[in-house]
Amino acid sequence: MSGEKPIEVLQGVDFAIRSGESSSIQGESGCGKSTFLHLLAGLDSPSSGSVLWEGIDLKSLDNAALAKKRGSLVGMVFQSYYLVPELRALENVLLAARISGILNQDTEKKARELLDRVGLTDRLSSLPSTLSGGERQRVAIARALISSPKALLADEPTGNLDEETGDSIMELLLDLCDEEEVALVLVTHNPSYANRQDRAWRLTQGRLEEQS
Amino acid sequence: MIKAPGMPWYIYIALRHLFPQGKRFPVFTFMSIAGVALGVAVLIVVNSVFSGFGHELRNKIADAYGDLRVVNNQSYLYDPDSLAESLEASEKIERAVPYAHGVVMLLYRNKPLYPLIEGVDVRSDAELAKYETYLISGSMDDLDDDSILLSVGFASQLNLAPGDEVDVYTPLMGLRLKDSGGDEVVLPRLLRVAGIYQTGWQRADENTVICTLRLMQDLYDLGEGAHGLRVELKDGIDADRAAVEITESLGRPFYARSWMESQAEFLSVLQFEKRMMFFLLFIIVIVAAFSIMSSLLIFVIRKTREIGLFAAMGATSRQVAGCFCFQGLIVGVTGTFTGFCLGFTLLEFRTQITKAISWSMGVSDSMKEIYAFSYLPVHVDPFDLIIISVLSILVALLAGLVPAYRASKLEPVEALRSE
Ligand SMILES: Nc1ncnc2c1ncn2[C@@H]1O[C@H](COP(=O)(O)OP(=O)(O)OP(=O)(O)O)[C@@H](O)[C@H]1O
Ligand SMILES: [Mg+2]
Repeated sequence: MSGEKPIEVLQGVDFAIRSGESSSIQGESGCGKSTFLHLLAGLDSPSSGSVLWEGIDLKSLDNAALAKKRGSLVGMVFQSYYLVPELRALENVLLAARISGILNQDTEKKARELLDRVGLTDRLSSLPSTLSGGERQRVAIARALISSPKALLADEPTGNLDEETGDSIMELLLDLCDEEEVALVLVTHNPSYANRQDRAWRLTQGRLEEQS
Repeated sequence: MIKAPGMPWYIYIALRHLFPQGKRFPVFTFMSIAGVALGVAVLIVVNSVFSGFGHELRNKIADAYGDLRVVNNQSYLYDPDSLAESLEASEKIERAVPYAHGVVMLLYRNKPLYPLIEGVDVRSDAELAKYETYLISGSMDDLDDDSILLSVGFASQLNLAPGDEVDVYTPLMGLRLKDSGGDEVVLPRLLRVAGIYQTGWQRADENTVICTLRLMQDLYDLGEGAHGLRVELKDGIDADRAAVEITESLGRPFYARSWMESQAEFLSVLQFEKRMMFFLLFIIVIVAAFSIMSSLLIFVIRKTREIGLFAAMGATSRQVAGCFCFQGLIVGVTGTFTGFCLGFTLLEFRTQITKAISWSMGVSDSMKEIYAFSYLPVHVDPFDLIIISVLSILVALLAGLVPAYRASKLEPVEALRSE
C-alpha cells in the first residue's frame, strides 16, 4: 500500500511443526499471532524468509497450486466460526471437501461421523443461525478436519465463548487432533491450554520463543 | 445423500447464495430474476406483436400489389395476353394477369376528387376471388364495364354507397377536347358503384378505385393493351429473385418489379421502427442488469469474510470470481426463461387481455377500425427469440462480472480480518 508505512510485525521467526505434534502460541493482543497463522497457512506471504510445507517453498508455487495444497494440508478454525449462513450444518462441513475436490460417499460418511463426534448428531440439517456459538464452533471444527489435513491452525477458537463452553470445545479440539493425528497450532490466551501442548511458544516483539 | 456431488463448488455456492437452504422465498433473488423476466417478457410480446403487424402488412401489400409486376418501361404492353401466356409457362409462376392503372377525375355532387384507378382483369377467377375477400359491401357480380369498386377510405370521403352513380373524366378527354379545337363535346363516363372494399393496406384503401380492365382500356385508349402484368408466384418463390430472373429473360424494355422493391421505403421504415423499438425496450433489461450488479456488489461486501474463508479452505481467486459471475448468469438464465414463459402466456391470452384493457378503459374494440385486423396479429421470429435470450443472458453475465472482479481482488488476509 502506497503512502503507508510498512509495519514490521514478525521478525526472525523460526518455527517448525512436525507431523502430529501440537504447539501453542501465546502473546499479547496485536503482537502478530493471527498474522503468523496466516503466514503458516500461505494466505499471506512473508516479505523476507520463507514458509515450507513438506519441504516445498510456498514461493515456488503458483496461486492455483498453493490453493490446492492449502485445501488438502491445512485446516483452519477461527475465533468467530465463519460458517456459511446459507448452508445447513452438514453442508457447511462438506463445503471444505467440495472446495478440495474430494467430495464423495466416504467424505459424506466422515462428515456425519465428525458431526457425531462433536455432539451434533441431530443438528445435521440445522442452519447456522439456529445454532449456539459453541455449536457453531463445533461445526467449524468438523469442517476443518473433513479434508484430513496435516495441520490444524486454530486462532483463539474459544475466544468468543463463555468459559464452560470454551473448555468443552477445547477438550474436543485437542481430543480430535489426537485421534486424527493432526498437528495442532493453537493460538490462545489461556496458559493452561497452552501448556498442555507438546511445545508452547510465546510471541513477543516479533520474536517467537519457546517456553519450557 | 450428497447434493450435487460433481458440481464445482463455486457453482454450488452460487446457487446456495441465490437459493439458501431452509429459506423458501429468497426475496433478493426473486427481485433480480423478476427484473430480467419482465424485460424479456415485454421484449417478446412487443416484438412479436410488432412482427405480427409487419407480417400482416407485408401480406396485404403483397396481395394488393401482386408478388411482382412486369411492365414495358418505354410504353404499355400491346399484347399482354400472349406475354402472360409465355410467363405462365414458367414453373415458378402461378399466374400472370394484365392490369392497367392511372388517375381519373371523379365527380360526385359537384365535388371532384382524383383517385388512382386500377383496371382488373375479370376474366381471371383468381383476381375476382381476391377482390371478393376484400369486399365489405356490394357484390363482385355487379362489377361490369360500367361500374367501379371504391376503397373504403375513398367511399367515406364522398359518402358513397353501392348503387350510387358518379361521373368519371380521364386525362385523355382533355387531350381530345384540345385536339378537336373545342368542337367536340366531351361527355364524362357515368359509372355505378358496385361495391366497397378494404385491403387493410392503408395506401390502397385511401384513394383507389377498381374497375374492369376493359373499362380501363376504354378510358385510357389502350385497345387490347395493358399497363403491365400482375404476376403471382408459386408458394416459396422469392419475389425479388424471380423479378431479376424475369427481367433478364424478357430483356429490355421489359422490367419486373417485386412488391418489396416497389415498397422498399415503406418496408425499411417498418424494419427501422422494429429495431428502434427493440433497443428502447432492451433498456429495461439493462436496467434490470444494473440492479443485479448493485445487489451483487453489496452482496460481495457483505460476504467479504466468507470470501476469506473460501481462500482458507483452498479456493483460488478465480473460483471466487466464478462464484459471483455464475450468480449473474443464473439470474440471467432463470430470468430469461421466466420471461419466455410470461411472454408466451401473455401472447396466448392476448385477445382476452386486449379485450379486458379496452373494456376497462371504456373504449370499444377499435382494432378493426384502425388496422383492419379484428385480432392482434402475432408473428414469433425464432431469430428474434435467440437474439433476445442471448443478449439478456449476456447482459446479466456482464452485470455479474463487476462484483466478481471485486471479489477476486480481495486479499484473503484482508478479507478474513474485515469486520
Ligand atoms: N492490514 C493491516 N494494516 C496495518 N496493520 C495491520 C494490518 N493487519 C494487521 N496489522 C497489524 O499487525 C499487527 C499484528 O496483528 P495480528 O492480528 O496478527 O495480531 P494478534 O496477535 O492476532 O492480535 P489479537 O490477539 O488481538 O488477535 C497488529 O499491530 C495490527 O495492527
Ligand atoms: Mg488475532
